[in-house]
Amino acid sequence: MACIERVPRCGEITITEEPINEFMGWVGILFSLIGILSTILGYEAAAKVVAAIVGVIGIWAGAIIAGVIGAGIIITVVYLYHKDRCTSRDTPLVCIAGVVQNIVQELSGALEYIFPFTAMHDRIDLVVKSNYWDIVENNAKKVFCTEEPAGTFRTSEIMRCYYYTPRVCSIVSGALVGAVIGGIAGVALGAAVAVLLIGCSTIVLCLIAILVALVIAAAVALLGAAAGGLIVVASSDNADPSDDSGTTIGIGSLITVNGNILTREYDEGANVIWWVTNSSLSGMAPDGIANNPFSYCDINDIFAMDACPRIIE
Amino acid sequence: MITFVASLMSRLSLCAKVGFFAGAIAGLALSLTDLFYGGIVLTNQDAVHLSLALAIFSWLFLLFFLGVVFRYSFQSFVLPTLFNSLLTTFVTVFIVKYLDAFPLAWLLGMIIGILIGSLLCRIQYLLKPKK
Repeated sequence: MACIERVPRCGEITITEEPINEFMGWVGILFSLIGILSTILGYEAAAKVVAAIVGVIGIWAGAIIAGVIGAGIIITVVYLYHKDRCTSRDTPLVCIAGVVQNIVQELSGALEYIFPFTAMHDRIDLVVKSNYWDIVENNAKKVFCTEEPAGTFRTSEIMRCYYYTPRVCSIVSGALVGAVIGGIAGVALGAAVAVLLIGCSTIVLCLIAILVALVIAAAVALLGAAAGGLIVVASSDNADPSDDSGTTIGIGSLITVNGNILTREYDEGANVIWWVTNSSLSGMAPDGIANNPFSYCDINDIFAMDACPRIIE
Repeated sequence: MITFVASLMSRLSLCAKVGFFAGAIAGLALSLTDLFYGGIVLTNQDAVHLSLALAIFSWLFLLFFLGVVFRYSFQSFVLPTLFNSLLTTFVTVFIVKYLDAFPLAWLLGMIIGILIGSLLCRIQYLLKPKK
């Protein structure tokens, strides 16, 4: 077996930037700005001006503004999904080869069916040959690896490779349209419920009415997004990922993949292929080798001649 | 600026981030209400009702963001975030009411949220069975 002395870098880097840090950062900045503004305006002179404005716009306007904020949050989230899923990146092209360990299709779980705008392009997890480890590791905050028993030295690096799936963009676009339509309806419904059913007779009721308007608008926008996405799901067909010749890729396929490499926050800061530009199959891994998980030690041997160009020095 | 704040956030545990979110929402709501209505006087009953409403509100948003956007498993965070939101919101509302510091409630909420969240994570760590 062609295991090598060098060990994969999986687990070497422990700090993983999660997208949640950026989100909470935005919450912190936005809320602080509004908070500072409200503290400044809280001084007597400014407070009189604010009170006069509130007196004019009344609870209806307050409820509508809250509704717009609630619906706006959902529409923004769906828009960000659309931007993430449907934008190609002008990043370097790389070529890697290995064996397919896992395939994740665009609607792979219950969550994607309930919130179809979270659908993701078809992905294959490739156990790469050791001569491509430098590509997997280059500037990555995380390297995905196979799980092997300690001390076997067969642990291998995995590269996630995404195949552009047009259906995903259609689903997210449908969800975006649904979110906007639902958002408009939600703002009206939220304001009506807040003002007519709760009212503003005390300060506590006023605040609760505003919160209810915001939540209803957000919930209806979310329902609209779900409905819009599901309509597209129902009216389109799922297709398995395939190589350039149209042959369906399966677990155990030996494959050479070309595509743009990208360090992606949503993949825990790992390098991924986003998206595969072309790929070619070279048969299947033989039955006799360990396949749960596969190891680069075997793949180096059985897939010595992949289709990546060789640099002759 | 966002990179700097995000790097500060990366130093906080997830419980602290949840507390921060709940505290920020509760505090900001109190500051804005104080601004728009000019001087809030809350009875204890009002404070309880308000705390409950704000806790449920921030919890609903946390459910959406953690579960749908950030893909944490619902089982792992539904109850802890509810408890964290309730505790943070109640403490924020009552401290702000006691200090009569409504204009600065947004800042107090963030600080209280981080402290309570960090404390909850610490307690969870201490109660976790050791191997």
